[in-house]
Amino acid sequence: MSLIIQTVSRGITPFIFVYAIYLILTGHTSPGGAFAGGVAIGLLIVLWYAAFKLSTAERRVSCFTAHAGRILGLLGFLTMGTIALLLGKGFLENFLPKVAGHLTMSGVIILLALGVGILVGCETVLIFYYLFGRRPKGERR
Amino acid sequence: MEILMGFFFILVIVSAVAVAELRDLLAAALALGACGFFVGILFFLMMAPDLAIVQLIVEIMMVVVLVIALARTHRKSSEPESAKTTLALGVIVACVFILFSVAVVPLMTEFGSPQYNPEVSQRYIDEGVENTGSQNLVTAVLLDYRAYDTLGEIVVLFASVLGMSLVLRKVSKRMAEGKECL
Repeated sequence: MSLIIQTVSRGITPFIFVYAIYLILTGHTSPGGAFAGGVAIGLLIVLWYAAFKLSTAERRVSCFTAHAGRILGLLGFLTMGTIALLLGKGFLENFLPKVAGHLTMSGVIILLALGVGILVGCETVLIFYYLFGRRPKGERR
Repeated sequence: MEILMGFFFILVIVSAVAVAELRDLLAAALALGACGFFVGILFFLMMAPDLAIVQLIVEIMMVVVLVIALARTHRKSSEPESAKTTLALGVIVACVFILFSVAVVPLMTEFGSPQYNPEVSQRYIDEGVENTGSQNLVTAVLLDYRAYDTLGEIVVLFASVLGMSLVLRKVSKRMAEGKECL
């Protein structure tokens, strides 16, 4: 790709990342949410692929990292539910203190959102890697 | 507000027809992006900013994926121009659809009114903020009241990518020849 696109995408990367994290972590006070934020993180890797090469994107977020991330996200979600169960409440019930309108005091919602965000982001990256990655030897691209 | 929404609705229809009719596939992909963008604006005008954000982000991803796929294949559609029988079939299907809509739309409830269990919806709206500590009711429903639903959704996503990785993964030569499994 041209130098202009590479420079712009290098400069815009931190802003997209901060916006994605913002969408995930403030889903309970403003529009947005874990799914949108996760897909935005995935789009960042798509941007790296489009501007540079697949190997550049894979060097930053490898296939292994993405698999580890999605398993971590699902396990985090399930762990939150199980902790509530161990404390004598219902599965996935909100067991932490919560204050309406507070930035971080929404109980377990913010942790669940983090798990869903990581999972969706890693799934997007993996779908992209598998669809556009290298094919086995001998197979036509 | 209604006039603005009608304007964008017409734009959605025009761009959707353009997607189906354009022979240049790159132009069709861009028209699909425009269609999704206008749908996002419609969601925003209907006061659903959560949905609008998701719509825009997913639409951007779809257009990028389509353009990359096009860069690796042919740009022109190899499909021949549609014949007269296809056109006639399209007109017949459209007529049936319009007749069906005219018959069914008066039977539907008013737009925005709950379909069933109105007391549950009202309860979410009245007590949601204090029950969950979340000001955004969409998040309150997604991650607190209906957290089971979200769990099911992410498990479906997890399993689909697992299947995808099994089908599309890189295979070593010994594995491809059947001398070694997995």
